[in-house]
Amino acid sequence: MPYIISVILNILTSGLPCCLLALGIFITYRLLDFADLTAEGSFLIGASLAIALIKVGVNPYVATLIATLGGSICGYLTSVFYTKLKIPKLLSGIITMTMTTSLALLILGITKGGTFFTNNVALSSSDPTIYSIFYFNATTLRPLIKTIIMLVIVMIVFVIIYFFFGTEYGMAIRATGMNEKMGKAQGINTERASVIALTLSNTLIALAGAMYAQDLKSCDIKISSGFLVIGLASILIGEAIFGNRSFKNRLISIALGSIVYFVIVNVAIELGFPSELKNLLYAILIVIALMLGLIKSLKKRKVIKYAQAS
Amino acid sequence: MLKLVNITKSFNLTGNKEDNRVALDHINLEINDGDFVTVIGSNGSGKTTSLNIIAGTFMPDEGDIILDDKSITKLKEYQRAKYFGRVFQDPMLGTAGDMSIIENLEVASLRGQTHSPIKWGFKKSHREHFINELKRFDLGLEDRLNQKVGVLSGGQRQALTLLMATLAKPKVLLLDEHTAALDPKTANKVLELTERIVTEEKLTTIMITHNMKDALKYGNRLIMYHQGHIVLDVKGEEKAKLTVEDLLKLFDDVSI
Ligand SMILES: Nc1ncnc2c1ncn2[C@@H]1O[C@H](COP(=O)(O)OP(=O)(O)OP(=O)(O)O)[C@@H](O)[C@H]1O
Ligand SMILES: [Mg+2]
Repeated sequence: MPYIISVILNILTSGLPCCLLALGIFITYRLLDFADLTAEGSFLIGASLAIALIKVGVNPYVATLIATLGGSICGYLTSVFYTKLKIPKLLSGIITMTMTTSLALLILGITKGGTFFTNNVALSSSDPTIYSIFYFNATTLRPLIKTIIMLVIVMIVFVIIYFFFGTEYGMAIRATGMNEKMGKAQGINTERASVIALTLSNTLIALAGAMYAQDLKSCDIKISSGFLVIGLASILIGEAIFGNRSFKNRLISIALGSIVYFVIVNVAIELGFPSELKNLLYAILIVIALMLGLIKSLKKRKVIKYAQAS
Repeated sequence: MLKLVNITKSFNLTGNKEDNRVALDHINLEINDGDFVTVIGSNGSGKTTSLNIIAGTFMPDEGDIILDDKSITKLKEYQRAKYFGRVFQDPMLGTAGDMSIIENLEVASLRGQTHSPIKWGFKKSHREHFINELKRFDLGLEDRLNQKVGVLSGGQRQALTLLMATLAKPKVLLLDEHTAALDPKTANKVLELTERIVTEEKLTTIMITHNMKDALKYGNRLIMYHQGHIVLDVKGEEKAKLTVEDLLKLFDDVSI
């Protein structure tokens, strides 16, 4: 396979799971105005459940489904801390996230009969994944097949999310997230809206974790570190470049933002940026994205002022 | 009919007994269907607190709120939303700025009903209805349905909030100084609009204002609050005879 194509496929296999991660973060951070630190926790739970279950012989699709539901539970837990126990937003997420680091040790321990805590599990080449089931004998086409499967999953999820947030209730959740007072005045149970949005968000993030780990064919308890920043940066880059005019536009921006993010990272590393300093690069990217957003919003404010004055 | 029976509400921010502030002190009020009540009173006299208690933003310490012979005291704010349409003083509070005009209207058209998680939020039949309503409100917004509410001026936003509050007909419309943040000309426009809609739709309305002239000009009944009590309640003929001077004198009398 030509080098350039393998680079593109490489970018896509990193970027596509990240689309779901960014979409999940978008639901809490942007729609609900809730900086949810559960994200890295549910990513870890998704990754560890998928790998551990596959390792003990569960069908990879069933394993991925369970892994995804694991994320739903994380999100639900955070929402209960926040709505029922009245724990502040940031802290609610931190509590769940902290729990998951221990839970992941237990989950990965299943592979050792559940009597050990394990912090690293690798699948062997004969273990199946949601991708390998479709590899057949086409060895050279594997990266392509993997990318296509990822693309199909991501597209299905984006379509579902687009439709959900376009329904009567989805719109109500968006309104509530933007303006809680309005939500209540319109008869929306704002607590329930928070529960649903947080659960949904972390469901998607765990699915992203499960997809990512099966691509790596391994899971380490540090697998999720840095992903919150990556997801946020993807959202910001997407919004800065592709805009946020309507809900559809925002979803497309997130998806493309994640891909652009990995294009930038890959190009930087190809150009010789030491990959050991990746985190520095991530941080720089987020600052640049925020600045782009700032410049854009300043310009917009001027336009609005002008329109109102005239 | 909306009835407040012996409503008492006090706030205490510090926990010290001396810092207890009685915002409403055993208020009794009956509002008949079709009443358009204007409410005046000095700062901190309890006007906003009354509306908040009616809408369920917070619970009274004592007393009962009765709507059409049923107590609604125990219902949460979102559960009461089907009965009340609200417009706040702050134009930002009534609408979702990052959503389009049509999205805001779609959400409002279901005020107090179940928002279904499977039914598509945009409805073809609504669109035409919204356009007609926006025309009736004379905002020049009827061909800007897809624009974000955030780009509208304060006056347009307040008028849109008024439309949203009345789109699903409320039992009582609650207006809390809804023109106070607007320039005098826009404020007048929104007030005229309010009166027109209230009359056309025969809405029972409570409108708080600091403007004596407006309080006299609009509505068939006027209430004045002072330190958590209702100190004046006049209707019809009696109200029509009142002048701004009378009101100012009353203000002076109660302030002594
Ligand atoms: N959420 C709250 N927390 C604490 N105190 C409050 C709260 N809401 C009202 N109060 C107090 O209750 C009293 C009545 O306030 P309220 O807002 O009802 O007055 P108002 O008549 O609407 O005044 P204004 O004309 O200034 O709007 C005031 O002393 C106020 O400080
Ligand atoms: Mg007030």
